[in-house]
Amino acid sequence: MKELLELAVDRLREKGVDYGDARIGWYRYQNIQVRDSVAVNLSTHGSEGIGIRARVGGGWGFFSTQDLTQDGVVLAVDRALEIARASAMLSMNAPFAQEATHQVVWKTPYEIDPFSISIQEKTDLLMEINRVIRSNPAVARAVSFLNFSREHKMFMSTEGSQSDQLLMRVDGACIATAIGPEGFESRTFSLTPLNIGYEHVLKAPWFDEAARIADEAVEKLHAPVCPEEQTDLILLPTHTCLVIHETIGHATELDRVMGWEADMAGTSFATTDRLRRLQYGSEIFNVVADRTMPNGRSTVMVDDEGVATGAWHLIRDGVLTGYSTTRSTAHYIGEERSRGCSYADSWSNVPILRMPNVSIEPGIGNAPSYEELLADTSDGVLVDGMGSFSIDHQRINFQFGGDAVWRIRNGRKEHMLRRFTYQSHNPVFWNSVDTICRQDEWRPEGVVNCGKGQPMQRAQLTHGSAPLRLRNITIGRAKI
Amino acid sequence: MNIGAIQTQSFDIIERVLKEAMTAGADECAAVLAGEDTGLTRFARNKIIQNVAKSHHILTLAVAVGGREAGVSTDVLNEGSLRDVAREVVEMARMYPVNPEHTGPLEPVDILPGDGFDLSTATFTQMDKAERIRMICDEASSHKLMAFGTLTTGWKYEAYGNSLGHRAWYPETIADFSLTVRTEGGEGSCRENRGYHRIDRIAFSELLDRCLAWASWSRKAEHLSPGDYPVILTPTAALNYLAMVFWTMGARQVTEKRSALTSHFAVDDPIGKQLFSPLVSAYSRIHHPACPSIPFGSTFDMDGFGGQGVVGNLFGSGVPSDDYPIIENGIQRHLFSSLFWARKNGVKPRAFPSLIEFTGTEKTLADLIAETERAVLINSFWYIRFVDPNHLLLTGLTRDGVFLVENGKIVKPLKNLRFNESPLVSLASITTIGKPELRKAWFYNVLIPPVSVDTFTFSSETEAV
Repeated sequence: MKELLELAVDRLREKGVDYGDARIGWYRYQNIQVRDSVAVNLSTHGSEGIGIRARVGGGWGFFSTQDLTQDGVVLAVDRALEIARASAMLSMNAPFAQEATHQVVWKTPYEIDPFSISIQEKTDLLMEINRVIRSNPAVARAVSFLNFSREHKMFMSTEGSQSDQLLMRVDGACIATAIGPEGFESRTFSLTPLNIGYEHVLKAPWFDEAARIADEAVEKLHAPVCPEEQTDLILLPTHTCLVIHETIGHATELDRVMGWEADMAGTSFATTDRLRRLQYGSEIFNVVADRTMPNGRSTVMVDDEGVATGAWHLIRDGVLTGYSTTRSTAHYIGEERSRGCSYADSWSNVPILRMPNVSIEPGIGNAPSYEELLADTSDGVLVDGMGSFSIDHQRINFQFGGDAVWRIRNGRKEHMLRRFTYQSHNPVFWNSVDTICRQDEWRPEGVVNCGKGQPMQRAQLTHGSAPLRLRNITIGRAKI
Repeated sequence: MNIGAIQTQSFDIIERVLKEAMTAGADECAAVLAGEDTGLTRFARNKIIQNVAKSHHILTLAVAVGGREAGVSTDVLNEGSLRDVAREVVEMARMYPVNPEHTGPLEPVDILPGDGFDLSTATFTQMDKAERIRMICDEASSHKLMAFGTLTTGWKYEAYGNSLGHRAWYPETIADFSLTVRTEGGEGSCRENRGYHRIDRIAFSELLDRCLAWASWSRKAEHLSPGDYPVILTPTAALNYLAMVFWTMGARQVTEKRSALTSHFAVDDPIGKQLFSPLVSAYSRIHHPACPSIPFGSTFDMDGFGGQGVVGNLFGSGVPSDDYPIIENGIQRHLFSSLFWARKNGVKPRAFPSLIEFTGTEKTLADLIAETERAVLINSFWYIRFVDPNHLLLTGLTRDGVFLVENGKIVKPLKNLRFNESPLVSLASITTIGKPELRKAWFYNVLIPPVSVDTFTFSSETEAV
């Protein structure tokens, strides 16, 4: 297949492009889902093809095809050129950041290839998880699933960069639903989505968690409805993950900030005139973007336009200090290099700016343990897992729920709350953080289904944090 | 291009893969081949920022062996790969437990031919699109405004076949346009989007004029205290919000008491019950003159997390669309049923409709505004999510145009607002209904009118524009 990449890149050069690249991808997915004792879904998907990107006269063109023959590749290059010429009619002609050439071969570190494990073994595991959940007589439904993907892509550019990278992804979950005269409520245990092998599934405490979520689904169904008030929140990493993603990750994507997503995903309040000025969070609040973190969902060595990845602060000591960028956007903040945030979810889609893994750094100095933080909270709410989430198109006003929520009184979990939500807005919310737990409480969590772009593409990211506390947040405003 | 030849090639692939599956040991099998050749041009700040096209097809094959089911999809369609895929999926099925809810594929049934293919749309070129976008951007620029959006054209098809001999085919062209106009300082914004099967149905100038006007009007938005207000929803806003009600209408979900239709209204069986305003009628339609739509679809159970999401059935494709009432004069008439649930209960399987028609009146949005003493006018909503599926309590925000209407006139722009409200409550408190307009939703089309709703709960305000 390298010959096809060379053919594409040679033809792009012959046609005199300003820049061009070619990316061949082989993708394989497997999804297994069991409802109660019914195997409701067993499906696999395989996909392969080539995407060609060309820049001519400042205009961009991209064409993708499944035709992996020499004729198919030549045709694809010519279509990409034709599209680029049409774009040049009304081109932004943005500067394209320089990058050294890279020759990279890399793959996700993993021990066991998930696709080498039999379907029978995976199904037996899910059946047993559901049996444990349904052993609680008050639970009416158990659903569990496992997802695996293997994403192999080879890239070559007219600048001379080449890469051959393989990403292995694993995630899964089980869900218990209790139904009664009060209605229905669900509780979920999610296997932390990571880029890793099947060993991640084998090490997970599935059965303890299955029993726990079954009990908690029943308790949640009978729990009092969340009152409307202002109170302190303790957020666990399973919940904070999504809040980081929505309120920081998207807000610091430079294409959004500059209006490229204004027609759909929106723009951002964190505008470039506020760089190094905006007090995004409290002084103990530090946020790192990192496409190199081990097992991170967006971790690669080079991005989809040949840029070596790295790590940098988006927020340091509470102040906005950076953005995620690509080669076409870096110039907006005067940076000479891209931060390596270009990503396409398939060979068939054009790479666009996607947020990297974005995480909150743990507390330092005398930062407490989770138990110490809980004991130090006289009145508040503890939030675990992801629930309802909604945020405005400039990432200011937001409302989140949780999967499981407990009232905290006098330093202890008192009882669960039902129909919990909180509302706040940037930057007030992160300026309300008064405590972040210490390093050994830090956990990676992940988002596996982030939609962005036109046409819509899916990105997958890791967002880590330690338990943290925010003061005086409004809860319970969402009422029927 | 020759769409007839594509049909022949598509069914040749379907026949070959079905044969390979049966040869490999399947008792039953079904295949869907979906393809597209589309291009999307994206613009921002009055310039083209992205321009892409793809030629893509994907084959999905479902097989059953003794009630054991598995599915596979691939976009590699050569002779060897069809055989490999068929063997692989049959082997997978053999390793899987028997599905006690197994239903074989659909018996042959008539599918009405549709007419959603327009050659001039299929052959609309990249240059044609760039020219159209340049005109829009030039016009926006002349008003010192900025245009953002996309223009997509192309064609796609879906071919279906199964081992019982059922076959279905539908080619269509697409012409989708979205346009956001923002003021240069970012203090005003308006968005419109339309999707048809013909490029000549997109009223570019009309949409541009409206966006230019509303973006300008929405500058200097004023504060409105959160609380309960009457609202007027444009057809787009009505689609964004009210159409979420259909996600409560899975027959199995209702029977198993996992639907807001049972928990919110406290009824065991919503069929025949007056749940909504008598002004509300919604029908599943096939081949409406205003909107050719695919005449077959897939059934699924609304079975995801906490009542959200769907789980498809491997053999649930190829189900013919149908004309039937979903809601009639506020009375619930029908629910959507998967193949398994329909056969278990002796009813007709009903896929999610490819076209839903809300009936209405001849009143325009302007008429609704003129008749209103005081209300909040909402152009569109954004980021709607479930809060409590027991009541279909949703949250979301207004976006790209929200105004205060007083004494029949738009009097001022308002800052965007977050809402917490249920369409079940709103559909029961509709006071006026206007003339339906065609809007394109996620995977279906809707004829939906502007509506006035008696009360609607806003819970907070945002500075976002």
